[in-house]
Amino acid sequence: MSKKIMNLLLCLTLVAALSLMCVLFLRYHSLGSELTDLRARVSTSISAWKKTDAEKQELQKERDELKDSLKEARLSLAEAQDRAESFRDDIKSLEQEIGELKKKLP
Amino acid sequence: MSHPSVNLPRSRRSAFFPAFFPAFFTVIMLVFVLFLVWYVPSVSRRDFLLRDTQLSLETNLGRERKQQYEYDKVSAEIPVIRAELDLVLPETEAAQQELETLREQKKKLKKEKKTLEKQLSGSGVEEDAADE
Repeated sequence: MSKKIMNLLLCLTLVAALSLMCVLFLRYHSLGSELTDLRARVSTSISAWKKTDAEKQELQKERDELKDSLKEARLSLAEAQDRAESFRDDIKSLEQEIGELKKKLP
Repeated sequence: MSHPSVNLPRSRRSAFFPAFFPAFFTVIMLVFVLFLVWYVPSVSRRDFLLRDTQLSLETNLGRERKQQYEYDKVSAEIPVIRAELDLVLPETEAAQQELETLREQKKKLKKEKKTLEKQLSGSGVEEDAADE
């Protein structure tokens, strides 16, 4: 009877060991699947941010060019306004001089 | 490792536990031990890789969000700059045209002044001659 119980216990141990092996192997396999999935997601994420970065750089280039054009246009406007002011002063003094000259004429 | 039931006469052996059971048990337990020897480092390595990949994924997702934020920011800036440029460019052109007009006016006035100066110096000479 005790041998039978002993054998039964050994049998149970065997079954438990085999079950544990199966469970552990399944866990190992699921870890592998999870790892593969994560690696795929990392790869997708890397390609996504690289694509966005390339597009962003193109946009930045366009923005910088527009900014330069704006700066140039503002500078040109300020310069033209300054010169126009100076011309107006010159014209005023010339008109005065001409008025005086006209008075001097017989 | 010999099991007690192995030495028993065939008639007394259990029908449920055949003679090769002890050997079978030993083999399975050996396989189990070998499996554990292989499993523990393999799983810890896989766990490490998993954590490392998760970290890498978080980093890359963060980078993706940052790039997207910067992209949106630049995209929003471009129409504003373009609108500002559309306002400034006609103003600049108008200022240039005004400058050109003023330049022409100044030229004309200079010419007129020269003519008047010539006229004045000529009439001065004539007056001097008349005085003499």
